[in-house]
Amino acid sequence: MNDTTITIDGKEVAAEQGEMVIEVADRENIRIPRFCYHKNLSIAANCRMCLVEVEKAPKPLPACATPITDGMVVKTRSPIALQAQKAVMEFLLINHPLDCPVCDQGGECELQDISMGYGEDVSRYNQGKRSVADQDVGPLIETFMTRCIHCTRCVRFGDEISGMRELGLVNRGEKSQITTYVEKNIESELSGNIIDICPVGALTNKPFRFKARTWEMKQHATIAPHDCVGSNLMMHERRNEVMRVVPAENEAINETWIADRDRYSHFALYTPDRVTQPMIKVNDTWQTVDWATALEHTVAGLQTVIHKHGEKAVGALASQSETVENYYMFQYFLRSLGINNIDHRLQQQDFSDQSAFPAYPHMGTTFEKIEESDAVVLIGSHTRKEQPMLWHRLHKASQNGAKMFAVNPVDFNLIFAFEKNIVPESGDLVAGLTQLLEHIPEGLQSATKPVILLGALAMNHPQAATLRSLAQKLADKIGATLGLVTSGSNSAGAWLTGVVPHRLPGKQAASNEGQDAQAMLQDQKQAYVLLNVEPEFDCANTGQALQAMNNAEFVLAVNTFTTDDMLQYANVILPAAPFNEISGHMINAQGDCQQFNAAIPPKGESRPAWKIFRILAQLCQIDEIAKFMTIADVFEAAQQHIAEPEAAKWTADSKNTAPRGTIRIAEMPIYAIDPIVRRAKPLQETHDATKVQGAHINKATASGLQVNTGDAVIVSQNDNEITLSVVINDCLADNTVYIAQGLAEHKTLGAAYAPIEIKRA
Amino acid sequence: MSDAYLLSDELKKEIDHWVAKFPIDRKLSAVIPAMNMVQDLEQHVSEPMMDAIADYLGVPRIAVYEVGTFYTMYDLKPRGKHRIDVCTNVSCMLRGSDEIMGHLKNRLGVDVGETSKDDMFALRSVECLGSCGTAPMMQIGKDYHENLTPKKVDEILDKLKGEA
Repeated sequence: MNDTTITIDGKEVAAEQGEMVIEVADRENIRIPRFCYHKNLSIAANCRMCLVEVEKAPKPLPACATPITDGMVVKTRSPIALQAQKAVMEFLLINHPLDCPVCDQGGECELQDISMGYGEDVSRYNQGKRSVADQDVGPLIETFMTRCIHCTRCVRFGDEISGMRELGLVNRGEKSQITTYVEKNIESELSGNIIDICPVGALTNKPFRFKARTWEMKQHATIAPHDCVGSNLMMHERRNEVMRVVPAENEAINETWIADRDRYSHFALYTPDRVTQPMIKVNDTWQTVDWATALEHTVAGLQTVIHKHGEKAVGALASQSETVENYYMFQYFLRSLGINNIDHRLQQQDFSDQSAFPAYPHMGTTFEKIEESDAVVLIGSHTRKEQPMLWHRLHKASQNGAKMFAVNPVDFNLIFAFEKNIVPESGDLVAGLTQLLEHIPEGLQSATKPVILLGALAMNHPQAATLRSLAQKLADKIGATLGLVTSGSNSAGAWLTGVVPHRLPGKQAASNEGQDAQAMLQDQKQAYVLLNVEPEFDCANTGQALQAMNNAEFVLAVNTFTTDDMLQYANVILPAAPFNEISGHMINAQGDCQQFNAAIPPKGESRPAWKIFRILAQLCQIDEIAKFMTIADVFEAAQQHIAEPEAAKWTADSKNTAPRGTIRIAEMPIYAIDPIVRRAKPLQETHDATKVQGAHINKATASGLQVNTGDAVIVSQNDNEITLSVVINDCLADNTVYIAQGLAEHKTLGAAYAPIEIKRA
Repeated sequence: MSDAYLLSDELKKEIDHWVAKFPIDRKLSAVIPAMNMVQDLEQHVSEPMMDAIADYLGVPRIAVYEVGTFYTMYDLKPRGKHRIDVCTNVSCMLRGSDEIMGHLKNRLGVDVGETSKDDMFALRSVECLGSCGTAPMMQIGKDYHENLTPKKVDEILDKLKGEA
């Protein structure tokens, strides 16, 4: 470490052998202009902007591709360096249009900045400039290829980070251009990052196009609320309206990237079905009322049900992405009323080992450590779409030589090589995992730092407990770290604050154990309390959940959005402010408790959910509520329960039996995962959103049914029939039908891994 | 959907032969030999063929497009039976390539970059083919024709027409 000394601009600095000049300069805050260099991409050295003078070298050298040597003397601002930088700048501007006033990058453009800082004020070139045709690459990214300076950052990003090389540099010389060559959309779930790394206005944010200038907006740090990675974001706001989202750098979590889901989800925040006023239903008509009336109505409604049917007749469901504060006050209010049917595990079907759970489910390792593992086993995890930033770490592990194994209900499109990919028939993951356990492949057996991850498809399996205990056996045999990758952004927070029926905050067993998320829907309740839950989309058995809501006497929804069904079944809708309008904490899969502040004030009459539950508690005359005056008071109460991750030991087996016959395989698709994402128009236009529609079956199943792609089939679950069109997909095993969850058309169907009937229409 | 079935078994064997010459993770290295073979076989490398090569080698399709568009020796569309590439670089220009090109244009009734109506001859100007010592020169298919004069060009064209 730091064994070498070099001199940059007269300053002696320590450096490490193998480092490039630009890395040392960046660390020392010595600014060297650059376009193609990016610290998280490979070095191309093709823009030549970072030319610097190095003593004893006959000509200027590119700082990004010049390894340091002991005693090297670098001058970044000497006449030779300046002249070289000016010359490069002049060349770059030969073909670059000077259309900054109409370019979306204007004001945050690296070319503009560097041209101001290092360029000449006039160009000697007065011939015509070349122009390059633009391309339609999908709903997220706008192209203006004439502005491209061929730095190839976007090409390298595809190669090295997203793992999908979709863009390339075709032709040569003056005719070079960055293109997909064939007409196609860019489909990577990380594609939006090429907007950030593009140093010019060639690739810009399509839905944000011409919406705002960078100097009109204020930026606020926040946390992505869609997955358990907890990517750090910068939210750009103009006059209290979110305009766009960009990544905030955090090497330990999301490096310099974010998933498209985190970048474009904010477009949902201003959809017409956002609630901004308290609403109550009187004589079957909805009235917008003031808070006092709505709260009075809520308390009266809840107390009537409790009075008539008892506390056990109330069920409470929270989303998996609330803040610690929201969760804490949610369960505090409910438990104070004696309501114990509290849960956030909306998608889970097997709760038999819930008391063996550690304080909270966690990944067992860190994102950075995963890169260093030499073998990874994914069990029931569509990681690429569930947790795109975690997938990126797995991709890096694979690039570092890790051997990859998977047991999944679907042969997902994996962008790098897997040693073994088990796709068991009928979605029987237990059989698949048993197979792996009985014949542990050599590459896994000999691994020294193996990691086993259970994803949403395993967590939500009816035999999840058995899967965990089998995974534990595998982990014990090969000495692996075993981790759970949960859905939502803060299921850790939910566990720790007691938003589970069997535990109070901080892993204390509840003396009155309530019913879990499935039981309280199966066992019709008279009242339901919802916190940012849309049961007909978010629950495991959506058909059953919808029916339970419709049959309930009283439904209170503390939600950001409404749905058509909710307007039917709910009695009170209180407007909860979404993640960007509240402050709070969220705990990610590696156990970081990250704090964030509201980027903008709550819209209309919306309020943070924790405040809503506090005032409800106050109105219910709960004495102790006076101690929760501020958000800091709430966090203080919750904080004492936030524990370090603890190791789990899974031994219990599931009480449920293996699925048999024709089974529905279902997941929450990447762009249907939560109420916000489902409403984000740009995301809904992507291929990832549209390709999950329909009933997917493999060729064998299709020929058995005598159907072909596009034909209509009738599928039925829960005695409900719907007609879907067939998609032939050979990624599926025999006897399985993939029908996604979280889509409006599929809401009357039942649970994943449950039998389904399918016949020709 | 993989297009690899477009490649004949013989071609696949040839590609395997080339793949074996490079390190195992350097499959891209086999793109040029594979494209050469397809070009020789079909006189052009179509987009489905580039896809087929990419899918067979397991490399991104765009990587093959990059190679295909970079080199002028690959025709990405059928151009005609005899593809005449006239060098117009400095040495050939000094030695009269303009006259040769003018003569060819007249004889064939096409402009640079075009193909004659009967699909027999395609005319193109290319950069240096490394035969400056025998300038002016042109390449037809795989053959170099050197020290050209209009008369010699006529003889060559007549011979090619006679073959047809």
